[in-house]
Amino acid sequence: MVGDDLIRESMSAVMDGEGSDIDIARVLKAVDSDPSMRAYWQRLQGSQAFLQSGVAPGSIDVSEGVRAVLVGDKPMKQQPSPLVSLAVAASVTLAVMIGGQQLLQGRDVVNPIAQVPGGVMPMQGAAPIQARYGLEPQGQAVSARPSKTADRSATSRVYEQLARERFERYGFSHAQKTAALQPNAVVPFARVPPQNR
Amino acid sequence: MVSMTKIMSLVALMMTLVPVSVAQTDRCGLSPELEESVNRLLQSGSHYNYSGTLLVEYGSDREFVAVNARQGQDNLLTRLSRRAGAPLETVIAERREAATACSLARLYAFSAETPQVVAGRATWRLSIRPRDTLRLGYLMDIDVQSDLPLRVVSATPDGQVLERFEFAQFQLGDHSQAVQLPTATPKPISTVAVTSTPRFRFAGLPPGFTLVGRDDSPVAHAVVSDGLASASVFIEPQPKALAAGEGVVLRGSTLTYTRGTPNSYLITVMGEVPITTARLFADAVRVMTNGS
Repeated sequence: MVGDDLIRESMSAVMDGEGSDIDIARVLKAVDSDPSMRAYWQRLQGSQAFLQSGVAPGSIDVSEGVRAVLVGDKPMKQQPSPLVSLAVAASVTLAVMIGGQQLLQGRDVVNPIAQVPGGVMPMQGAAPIQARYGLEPQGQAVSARPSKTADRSATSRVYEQLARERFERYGFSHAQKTAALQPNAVVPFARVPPQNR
Repeated sequence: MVSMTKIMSLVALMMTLVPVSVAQTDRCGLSPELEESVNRLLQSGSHYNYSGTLLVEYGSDREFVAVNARQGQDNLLTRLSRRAGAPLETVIAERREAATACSLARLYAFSAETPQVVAGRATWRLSIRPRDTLRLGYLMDIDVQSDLPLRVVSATPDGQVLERFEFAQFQLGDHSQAVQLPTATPKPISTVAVTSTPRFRFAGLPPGFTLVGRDDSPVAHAVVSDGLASASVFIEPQPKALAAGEGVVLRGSTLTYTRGTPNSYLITVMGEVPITTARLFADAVRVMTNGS
């Protein structure tokens, strides 16, 4: 039990971006080997997803959810834009702790880890920002999507821009080094906009 | 007596067959047929020349790309939807050892689904479901003749479809058995401070992921993979005086996560992984300073 508490503390530290090497190693080992800790970690992620999306995680079986999409070959959900951007805030850390505690009590459901498009993630030292959606692949104007969170800060906008620049700057290198790991080696290059070579 | 002989023969037959039956169903949880099929898929990329027109779809954005894959040579791409007379792009992937079905079976659940027709060709459908929430799921329609995936749909662990690749038209070329792709010449990892590139290590990696490569160009970075999903982790000095923070962009299934650290480094994780996995990679980065 004491060991479980230690692991939970490490998970919280990692989630807050304050995890030490030992915390990281402890979390990775627990997620890999202990089903109950894996479930707890997923609930922790679920609480984070709740704060990102504003939607409480329900009794979603992740595997079945994916299977439903894959087997049913449902049409693609229309994302707001091909290049979705998200930025983050640290000032919600307190909300993570409060909201997370509520979600973690007595929940054994397996929840989706991340609602990538939109939302807020806790991050030390960052200010709350509004999630932004979409950048045209040719570098056209970004379409903004209304956020449930506070206004975006200048810092967060800069990090979004930095991430976008890194995608354009390093995308080809990533494709080149990982294409052979995928069954169709041409596909990773097709993802990278041509002007980025 | 005859009856006893028959019984003994039957018992002998059962003793012979039972171990075989167990072996067929227990090997990494995959049937021998499925294991062989997945292995052929994983190795198919280095066996055939082919050409065709690829439809690439991200959400509401889509484009057609003409591809000409030539083993041992540059692959050629032409983006047909961008502008008239788009230039021919030449690309070549660095060679890596393919994963095996059994090595992936611990991380993904494989199942064969109803056959489909793609680009006028017979395919079989493979469903690849992640066993945890650290990786994406895939649906692949695989060419029966070549084992090349002609249609690939990728989705998040919660079922949101991220992108779709599909050949609208496909021609299979020669089977080039055991083609030796040129291996990328590894660039020496700088241990001398000839540049401002920082060195780093991982305190640990998420389950199933291993370090498969390192390089110092264009900046210090490492490549990690679980055999199917992969990510590149770049690190560089923080270009601006900024408070710690993070930002994410997503194009199809490729996520780019950038984090500024309190010690003025910029960590960028780029890969076909969920954001939680990207954050774990960034969490695990340790910049190596003198004496560390």
